[in-house]
Amino acid sequence: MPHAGPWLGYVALASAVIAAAILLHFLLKRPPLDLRTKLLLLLGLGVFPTITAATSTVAGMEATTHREFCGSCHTMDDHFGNATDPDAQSLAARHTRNPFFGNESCYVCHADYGMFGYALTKMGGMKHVYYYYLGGYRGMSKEESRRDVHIAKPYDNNNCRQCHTTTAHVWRSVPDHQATQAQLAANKISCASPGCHGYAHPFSKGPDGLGVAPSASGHLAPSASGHPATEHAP
Amino acid sequence: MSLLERLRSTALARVQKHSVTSLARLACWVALVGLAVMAVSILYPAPLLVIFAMSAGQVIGIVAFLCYLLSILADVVRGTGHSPDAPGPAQQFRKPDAS
Repeated sequence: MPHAGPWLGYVALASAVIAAAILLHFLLKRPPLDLRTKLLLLLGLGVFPTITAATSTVAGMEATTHREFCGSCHTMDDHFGNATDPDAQSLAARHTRNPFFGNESCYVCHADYGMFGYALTKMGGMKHVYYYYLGGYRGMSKEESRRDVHIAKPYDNNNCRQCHTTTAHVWRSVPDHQATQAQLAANKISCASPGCHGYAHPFSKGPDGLGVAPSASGHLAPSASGHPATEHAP
Repeated sequence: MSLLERLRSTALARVQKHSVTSLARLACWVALVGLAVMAVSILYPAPLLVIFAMSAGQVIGIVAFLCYLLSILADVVRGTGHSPDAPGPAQQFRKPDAS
């Protein structure tokens, strides 16, 4: 989706104000319903509200890609806090500090790509809203949400490969990449694995969902799922 | 003319007199609600507000526009035969030009 910027919101608000002024003039001044009034009402009820609806829809959709929007549910507090922590070294934090991701780091990494990716991502977001308000997530404590809320499906390596090409010589020259190329392509191994590039949100991993304790060597311990190289959630 | 017919004609006249402006005014109130919902979703883009504005807000706007169209249609249908105090395009009740 193209970045429309804040001006779209201003256009929506301006057209809403103009429409409201026309409507209030008709309601308060009560002019006769002659042709001039009807044309004014056509502007106030048809043209300007249509502009408001169109621009507010685009602006609203864009607002849903912002990190603050994703972090507005308390179950995402830790993810939001870690991603925006200037000292954190998790994948999420490092990517968030990358200007390319800007204010949309959650969306850029978690969006589905492809022809219907945008719509599919938004449908997934609707599911999140449903779970939050009607599925019991809203009443969860942070500890409960860390333990019980998981990514809906295994993280797709294609999302990483949108930026990190796997065809360049530099990538192919890494022995681990060569050895696991087929599994990476089939999503059998996640790029964001503790043995590889580390979890994106390491604090949420581990058997109790309360973080992975570093081993004596300083590396993250494998998860208790039996798949140490994957980030797959139930 | 029977009592029933007289009642019916009176009711019809009342409807013709008031329905057009009432519908137009109703359309305005409904549209104001829809515009407020959409404006709030821009100012405070919280999940529920954005979803509500994109669904219910737009439905409210469409209902308002349909009310407006209906009022125009009713105005056309009633023609010039309505009472002079009813606002409308009835040319026969307009004040003649000073010239």
